[in-house]
Amino acid sequence: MLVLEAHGLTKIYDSRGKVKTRALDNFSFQVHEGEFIGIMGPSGSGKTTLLNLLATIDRPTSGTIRLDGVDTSQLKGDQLALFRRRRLGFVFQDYNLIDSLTIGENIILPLVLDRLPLKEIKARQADVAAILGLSDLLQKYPYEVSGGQQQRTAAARAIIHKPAIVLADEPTGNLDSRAARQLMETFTQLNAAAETTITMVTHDPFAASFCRRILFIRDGRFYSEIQRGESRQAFFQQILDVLSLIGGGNNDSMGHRF
Amino acid sequence: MTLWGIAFKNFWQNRRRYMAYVASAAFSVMIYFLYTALVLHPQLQEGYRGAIEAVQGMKAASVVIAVFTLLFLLYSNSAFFRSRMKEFGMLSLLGVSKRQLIRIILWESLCIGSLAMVIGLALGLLFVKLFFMGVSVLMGLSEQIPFYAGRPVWIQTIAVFGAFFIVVSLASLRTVLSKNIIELVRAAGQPKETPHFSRWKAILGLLLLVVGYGWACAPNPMLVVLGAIPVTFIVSIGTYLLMREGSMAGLDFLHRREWFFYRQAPFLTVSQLIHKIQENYRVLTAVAILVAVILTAIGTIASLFVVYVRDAVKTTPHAIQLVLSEPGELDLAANRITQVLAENNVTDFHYTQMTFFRAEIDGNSRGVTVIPYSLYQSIRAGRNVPVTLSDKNEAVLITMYAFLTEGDTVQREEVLKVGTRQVPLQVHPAINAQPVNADRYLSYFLCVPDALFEELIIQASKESLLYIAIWDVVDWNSKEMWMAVTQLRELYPEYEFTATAENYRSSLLELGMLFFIGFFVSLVFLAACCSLLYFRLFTEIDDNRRYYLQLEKVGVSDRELKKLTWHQSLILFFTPFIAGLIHSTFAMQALGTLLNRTVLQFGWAVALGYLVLYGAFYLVMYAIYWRSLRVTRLAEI
Ligand SMILES: Nc1ncnc2c1ncn2[C@@H]1O[C@H](COP(=O)(O)OP(=O)(O)O)[C@@H](O)[C@H]1O
Ligand SMILES: [Mg+2]
Repeated sequence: MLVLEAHGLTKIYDSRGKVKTRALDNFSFQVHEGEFIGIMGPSGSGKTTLLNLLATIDRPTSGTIRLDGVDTSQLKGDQLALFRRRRLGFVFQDYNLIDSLTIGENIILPLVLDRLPLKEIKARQADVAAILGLSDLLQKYPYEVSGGQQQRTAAARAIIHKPAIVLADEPTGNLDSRAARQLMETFTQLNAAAETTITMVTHDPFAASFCRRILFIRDGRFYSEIQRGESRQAFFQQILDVLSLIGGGNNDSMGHRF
Repeated sequence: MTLWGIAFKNFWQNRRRYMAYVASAAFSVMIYFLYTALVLHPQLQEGYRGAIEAVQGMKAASVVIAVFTLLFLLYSNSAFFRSRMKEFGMLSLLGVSKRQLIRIILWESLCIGSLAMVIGLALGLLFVKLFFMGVSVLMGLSEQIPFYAGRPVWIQTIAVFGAFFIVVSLASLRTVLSKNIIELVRAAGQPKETPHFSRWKAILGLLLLVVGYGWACAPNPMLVVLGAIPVTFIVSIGTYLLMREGSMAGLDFLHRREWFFYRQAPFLTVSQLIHKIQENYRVLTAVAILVAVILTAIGTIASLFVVYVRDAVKTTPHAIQLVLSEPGELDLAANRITQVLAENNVTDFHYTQMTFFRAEIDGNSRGVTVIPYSLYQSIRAGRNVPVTLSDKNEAVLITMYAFLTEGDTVQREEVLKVGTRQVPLQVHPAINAQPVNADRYLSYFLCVPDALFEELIIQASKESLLYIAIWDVVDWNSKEMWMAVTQLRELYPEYEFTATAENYRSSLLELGMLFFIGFFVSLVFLAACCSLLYFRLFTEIDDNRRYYLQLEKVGVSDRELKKLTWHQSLILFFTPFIAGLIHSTFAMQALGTLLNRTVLQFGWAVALGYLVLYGAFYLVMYAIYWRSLRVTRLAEI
């Protein structure tokens, strides 16, 4: 089943008095249920712009997005907020956790916003916390735990309401290599066991190597696409090859992580 | 960009934060200017009736305003600059030298001071005529006090507030320079911890309030007077403790009630309130105490106003009264008064004439005026008679509030001495049920049974006899009456001639003036409260923007965000108001004990008025705040 269908997405930033930036140019792709997709490209290639469009945080200049069978351009104001909180899950580079809520409370935020009964909230909190290894941290505040734990909290919040798709923007961007690996393994596990559909934007080849399929983007345009085989190492090498072709990428020596 | 360019840009970016501060400082300048204009008014130095008291009152009020404004400016300014430490740190990181930094800060705070001064003076000049009009009406002047805003007024206002702004600028320099700025830049980036609280401090705070309130409720006037200062102190400390520890304890309680907490609004609001309590509680305490001061002061004035004006009518129940000690003079004088009344078209009156005598009782060193009970009843016809006599040896002792002491409110045995005769009596107390107009001399009345009165008056000495004539007029406050009273006042001294209209009008004037003066001072206080809260909101606006953006990304709708902001700012604004209202309610209770009657309703009426004002302030600030928050929200979709 098709979860996400983006067609001819174009985004032009039109800041007054300055030149127009065509951040995204006629970009189309599809995501099927249960897929784990990576979107890669050098810095400034339009990845965040794309993700913001998918996340309904921003509107495309032209093109359409069908998410979970809904044309998001038809949604207005509060409907959009509701759609975002019920059907989408997000993981951001800066975690985006609420300082005033504990880890446990941050996880259940989408459920509380949606007025679920207390019993159900508690049950799902326990489940998700167990999957992501956060059970001992529920009472702590974000500033009391490590970056990796914060990002896993964000991941837990992203999946607790069983969204149609989880969107992640550079989720490993602020993490050290150990925490990054742990997070990517968690994503893989969520994708495999819980059949969570994930679309992740990154410029980190190591993180990308955990995906099943990768789309490359360059100057806002679709560049190429690769599928993962059995070996992750081989896939990693493949990614580095494409990046070196694109240029301006990050083919610094990241092999040491293996 | 030049250094001045940077400095100006800083100021401009912070203009919304400064707005309330400038407005409230300008308001202080304006009120000070108005009061000074009146105090220094050449024609008020002598001349008008009641002018001296008014001028004295304004003088005292302007000192209060000046001192308060200085404190307010010092506090706000240091809070400003502290909230902008990071910015100054960045400037020095960018290579701005200490000397340049000093110049930027000095200029900035002086410019703000001058701005407040210019606005305040302009408004003062604009309103001075209106202000004089109000004063003239209050003083009952026939012609209006002429416009005056001479050089001394300007010099005094500018000198006082100019000095303040310079002191405040220097103080803000100290705030910025006393810290190692680079360290502060780093410190600002660190997350703040969730505050902890001490249950003991919360209980102590509660205990202090209970003690303070209990004391205020003491039934004994002496105890209340003794308690005035310690109770203020105790309650202030209690408020300080409760605002932090108490609200933390309460919020923590709510936090742990899962059935309550795990719902949208409490989930976000309670957690944010806990998160911010450390920054909020001092301001909340200060505002609570200021509100208590405002409500209590104005509530007291209002109560005194109502009580005294009402008492003026009660203590002078007869429109006109003449008291003489020679029977022959009375007839002559009575004719003259009736003639003056007729000249002023007052013909519809009821005339009574009677004879009383002065005597002594043990329990009262001032002496009492003895009157027959039937007369007391008939004079008070239509009004209720507080005490009825059933026995020959009973009497009613009537006391004016103003002369009330504790012994006057209990029933007791007394011995009445008339000439050589001693009469034992059972005395019932009554308050303010004056049969005739009271004054300093005629302040205690003893009503005895008629038979006893007839016996005693024969034995009374000739010097102790009093001849009284009374003119009762229904419309005692009419223009014609007032003309007549003014003419008669020229003819008779105060101990012989009394009139309801006169007593009423002088009470009205004195307390009306007090109210007028107090009201403007209270507005200065109220403006300061609002400015403190406004500033609190704006100090954390960057934090809040981030917080709202975070929530928006997770799918909180615009409407829900608006509701959230509304709840949180509502709690921030009205918690201290409610605390202040409770404090002032107990203060009014204490005042009631002193005045020997309930004045709570006046306190609440005043509070309602201020609530409306405060609510209006709140709405304006909320609108500005919400608009500022929206500036950097997610792209409008
Ligand atoms: N709000 C904006 N206004 C104007 N230009 C923008 C805005 N956001 C991004 N851009 C431009 O769009 C292009 C793509 O940016 P972005 O999507 O952030 O790239 P990436 O996430 O791949 O690094 C860049 O050239 C960037 O400068
Ligand atoms: Mg990006």
